[in-house]
Amino acid sequence: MSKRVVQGKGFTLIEVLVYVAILVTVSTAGVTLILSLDDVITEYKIEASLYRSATNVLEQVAVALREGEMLDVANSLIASSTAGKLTVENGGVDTVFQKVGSDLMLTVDGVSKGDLLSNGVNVTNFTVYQYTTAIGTMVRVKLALTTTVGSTTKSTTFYQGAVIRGDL
Amino acid sequence: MKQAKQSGVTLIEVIVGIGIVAVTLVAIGFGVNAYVDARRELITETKSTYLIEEGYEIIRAIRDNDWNTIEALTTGSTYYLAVSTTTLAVSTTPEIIDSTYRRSFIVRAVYRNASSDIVPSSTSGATVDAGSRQIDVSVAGPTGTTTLSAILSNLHAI
Repeated sequence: MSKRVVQGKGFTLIEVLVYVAILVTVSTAGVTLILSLDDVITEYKIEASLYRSATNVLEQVAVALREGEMLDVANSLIASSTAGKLTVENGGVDTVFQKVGSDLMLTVDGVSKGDLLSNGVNVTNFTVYQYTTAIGTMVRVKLALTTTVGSTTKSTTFYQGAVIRGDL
Repeated sequence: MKQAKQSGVTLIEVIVGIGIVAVTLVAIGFGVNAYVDARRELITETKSTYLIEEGYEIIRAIRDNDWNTIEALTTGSTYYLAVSTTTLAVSTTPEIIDSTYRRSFIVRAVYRNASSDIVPSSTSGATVDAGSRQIDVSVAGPTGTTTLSAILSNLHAI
């Protein structure tokens, strides 16, 4: 040890202080950055699952409406946001979209295809609107989805609609 | 013996090292942020596109009901849709959806030549087709305006 002191190598006190100060600043910034990245990534995951769920539901609704022959009004719940139900008939086969609690269930020809939403995504509003024209029917749906991961909650509302061509 | 041979890290080297790490961390942060912003934009763009798609279907339903409603609109003017829970109509009052998305459409004349092909209005001998209209539907959202264009015809010849 005495040899080292004599040679005067290594850091002076000032150098050590400056070094420690820089280290503290940079590591604080680094930790803050990583923590904020974690928030950002959580938000990303939430938005990705909302997006997946919404496009899944809306595309299936659009396909059902465009292929459909008629809106089965008796087996649909029109303008009900809490228990919206859409039944489209095509060649005797019923395609049913229904809000059951926080799930959006798809049933084709009496066979349940399960919840169309990703894990953790809940439907808060699924409303079916019916419009009768001189020669046909148009159906619009409103879909509000919400999901919570940790302390972050995200909600989005989507709209989709199509004229049912089959009964023209 | 060890102390005699040691070539320690100088303060400058330490500062440069930490600087590189800091720059890298910041770059990663910016990168992830840009990615997430793009995803957020994707959601609003998707919503806008669905609204446009729905807008076309609403205009088709109005067309199905009575082509004259579409034909009577002034070409080049901006119109809006009035969508209630039971009726669909064309309106001159701006339609604001979820207090953010503004949907509008412009009707344009469709010109045809002698063989009924669609041609630009500047073509000689081009005449306006009373039974067709080009509809440009736009949705202005938080990340910009999306516009799609399609031609609707008096399909059911009402």
